[in-house]
Amino acid sequence: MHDEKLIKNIKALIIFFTLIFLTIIGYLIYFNLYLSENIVKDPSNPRIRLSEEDVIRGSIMDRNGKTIAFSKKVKNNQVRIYNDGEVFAHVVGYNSPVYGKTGIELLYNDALQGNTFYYNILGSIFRKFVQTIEGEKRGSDVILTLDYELQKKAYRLLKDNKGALVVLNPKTGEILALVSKPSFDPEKVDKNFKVYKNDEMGNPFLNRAIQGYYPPGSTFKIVTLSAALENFNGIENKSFLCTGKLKIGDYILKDFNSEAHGRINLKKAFSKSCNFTFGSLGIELGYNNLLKEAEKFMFNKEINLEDLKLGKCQFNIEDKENKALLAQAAIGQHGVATNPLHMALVAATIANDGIMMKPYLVKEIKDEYGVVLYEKEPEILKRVIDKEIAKKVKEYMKDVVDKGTGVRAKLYNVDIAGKTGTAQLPNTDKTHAWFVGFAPLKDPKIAFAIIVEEGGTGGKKAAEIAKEIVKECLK
Amino acid sequence: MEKLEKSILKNIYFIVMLLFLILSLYRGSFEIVPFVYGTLSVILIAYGYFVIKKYYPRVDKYLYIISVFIVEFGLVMLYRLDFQRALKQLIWFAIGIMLFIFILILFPDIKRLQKYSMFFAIFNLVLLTMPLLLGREIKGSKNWIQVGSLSFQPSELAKIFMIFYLSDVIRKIKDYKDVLKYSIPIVLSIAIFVLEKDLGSALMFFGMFMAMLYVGTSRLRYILSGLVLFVLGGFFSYVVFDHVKRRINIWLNPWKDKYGAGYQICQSLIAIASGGLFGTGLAGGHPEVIPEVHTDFIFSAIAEEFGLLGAIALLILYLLLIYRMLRTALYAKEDYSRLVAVGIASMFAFQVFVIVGGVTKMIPLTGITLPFVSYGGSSMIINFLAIGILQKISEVGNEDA
Amino acid sequence: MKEIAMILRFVVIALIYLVIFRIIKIMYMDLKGVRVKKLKEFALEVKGAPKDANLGSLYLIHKVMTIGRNPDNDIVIKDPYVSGNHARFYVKNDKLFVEDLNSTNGTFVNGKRISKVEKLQEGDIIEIGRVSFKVLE
Repeated sequence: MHDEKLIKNIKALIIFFTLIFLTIIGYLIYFNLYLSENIVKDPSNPRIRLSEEDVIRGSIMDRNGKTIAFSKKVKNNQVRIYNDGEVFAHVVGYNSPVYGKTGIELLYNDALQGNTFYYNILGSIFRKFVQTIEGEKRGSDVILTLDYELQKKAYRLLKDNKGALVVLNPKTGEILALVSKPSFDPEKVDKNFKVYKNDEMGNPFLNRAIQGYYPPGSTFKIVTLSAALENFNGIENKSFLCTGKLKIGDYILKDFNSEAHGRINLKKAFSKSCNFTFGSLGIELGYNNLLKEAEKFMFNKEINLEDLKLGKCQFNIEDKENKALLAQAAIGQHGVATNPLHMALVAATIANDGIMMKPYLVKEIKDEYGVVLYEKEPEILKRVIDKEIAKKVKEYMKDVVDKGTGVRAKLYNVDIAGKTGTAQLPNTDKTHAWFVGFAPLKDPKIAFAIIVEEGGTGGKKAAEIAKEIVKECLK
Repeated sequence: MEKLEKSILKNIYFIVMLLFLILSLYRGSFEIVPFVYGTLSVILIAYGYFVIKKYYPRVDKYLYIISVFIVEFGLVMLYRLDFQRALKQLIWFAIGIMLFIFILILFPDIKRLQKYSMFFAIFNLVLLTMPLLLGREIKGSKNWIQVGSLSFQPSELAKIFMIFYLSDVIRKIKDYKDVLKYSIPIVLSIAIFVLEKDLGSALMFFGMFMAMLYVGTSRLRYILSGLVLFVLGGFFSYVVFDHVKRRINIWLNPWKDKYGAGYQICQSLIAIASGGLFGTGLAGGHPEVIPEVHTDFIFSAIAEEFGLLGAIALLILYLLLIYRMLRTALYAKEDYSRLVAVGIASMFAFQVFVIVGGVTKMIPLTGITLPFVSYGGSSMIINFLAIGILQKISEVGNEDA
Repeated sequence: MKEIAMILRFVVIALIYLVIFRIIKIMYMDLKGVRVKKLKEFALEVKGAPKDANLGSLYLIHKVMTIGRNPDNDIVIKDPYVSGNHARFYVKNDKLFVEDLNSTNGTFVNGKRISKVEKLQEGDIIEIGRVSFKVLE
């Protein structure tokens, strides 16, 4: 009677439960294939830290092998110690169990933890073997391109100002110094995180050298100048009559203190940072030519680097036909904004005869036995302008330091090329002081960019810092 | 046949000893305690098997074999997580096996329980209301009662009573009116579970009821009406009860509050994801960082250390066990025993589904034990009681095979 | 040591699947209806009877077998010393039992009269009335 139906139903139930279990199994497989990868990386995963505890984290050193950061065991815990922590904070980053990692600590975590990422297979087997015998694992060391002493000096030169400073080797792209102020102590991040995060402190976590977003001011005239040299034949012989006030429709572009430079040629106009001349050059070049030149210098382009996360730099005028805006853009005020590292790259491109090298921070990685696992080769990022144009711009930039606005950077034994900039801030009369340049003129060893927030005109504080930097580098 | 059984059991003993050997070795030197513990658990299994074989050579021994294999997963994992709890669990395991044998030898034919169905219904409700009056809240659910230092979860025993009750009344159902009349105790039970914030048990009871109702009446209409009512009830609870709303919201996006309300489930997901295909190896991972890992989240720990393959193996074992239970139902002599077997099988199936689905975020997480694996005395004992009853049914069913 | 433990995990997983595979295989056989489980069978051999007619003949016992003078019994013995429903043989859990159904003259196992139920072993001699049986497996 009912029995037959019951048996049939039970068989149906068997199939139903089988399907339910297959669904769970299917979901587990799906989870493992598609979701697990990201979930494991979540910072709330305590395993990341726990597994790191087993390995003595590698050190971070400067180009000469001087230790910047290292780990040691105190009782059963590892402690990360930073020498001159505040000086290197923005490059090296921090390594906090609570707040995670930043900087080199984050980007080169695999190497520092000794993960066999950079090994060939034989090497890793050998290493595993040796470690098993020795019973203690140690990560690899990361050697930076930074120069410890130069970095320290640069940090001191910025004093209590907010600002940033970048020094790099124009021929290779090695970053020799990269400072941002105010800074923080990476050893005290756990304790002071909230304070550091606070805006009133000037946001110490912000790496102004790469994440800052400043109008370049007159330092952008390097770009306008090379555009003019490229586009107008014989422009060098042309003379301009500066009245100190460039009238464009209803708008008046003023020179600094409305100073009239009178009849001047291009070189002098650059040297004196004449807004009148460069404003009118901008209008003459037109939006498209100026944009093209800016994009050659990597404005509006994303610069992808292994060692740094560069902020955006832009050249963008909302109304292409508006000549007043175009004139302001040509002197680096309106619609133009970038970070100090990028401006150092612009200077380095001129210094390196028009070739922009890819900047980098990590020179090599060595394992605990001193075997080099990875070595960085300099890379060309872009060929920007012709050698001839670059040569002319070099001469112009030398003139700025010799007799122009950058005269405070002048040294008697070294030829320095540079360009000052005074970036106006909207709605205040305060200005950021810029100085970008390179030295020595004949065979450039360094290129640099300096910005001092609310530091007045570029010819003062920024130029003086530049002089000290060149002194330190070439002594 | 018997030779095959013995050979499979020997395989299982070997695996268990291997697992405890890993636990003996992983700290770098050989430790004897895990080895002794493993040996004890193997002896218990062998003893149970010996008794069944001696007195009831014809009963289905795979119910027992698969169950104890699953128990070993739990013992190994618990040993690795927390030695004190593992010791207690071994004692519970021993008690479970004793109870199992006791039922097999002394329990009357299940059929005789049929006439007490009203008693079961009433006692079920008494058991469930006890914690509301006397109990205290543990881990966010008020479904415990405490006597001295022992805490006990009445819902575990209640589910067996409910199965006995339903097995009798479901056969009497002729129309909707009967469904309404006979489902009063189970609807009340589910309501009590929701009040006690024990949503997992509510879900399990509902699933079990539906499965039994379908098998007993063959009417899909009842099931569909049941599902509609369930959805309505679920929606109502979502609106009325904060704890229901909270669970659903955590399920929808646990990562939003991964250090707060979503912490448990996120840690569980991270653990499962860390396992990969082969797992980190026993004692090679860090499942100890998951909260409540020894009870609700033990599946995540297994998935981490035994990997996807290990987790799937465990699920297959559960499926085989459930199949074996339903097979018992197929071969049972009369309908009452048949429905009891169906009820117990559904209980296991839904319990595994609710907790495994919960910890993997397939469905909202509701705290409930993973049968035979999670730490806990009430759960272990009741599961062996259930297996014992099935074994009894299988023995009677086999008599005239 | 740690490394050994790490390698063992593969072994463990492989073994777990081996066990699962074996269990599934058995269940599959069971599903296919391959009845490996054979019921243990017993038989009674007639050793002595008043009229030598049935001597040596075998009776197979399926589950239950009744013995007596009445014609509805499985084995009918037309002997006045045998009661109408004399005794019952049955198999439970692979063991043969004999139960005396309150016969007048009793059932004897190896010469002893049994009270109610007695477990039998191979070679036992059972006497019912003037007939004797030997248990065979």
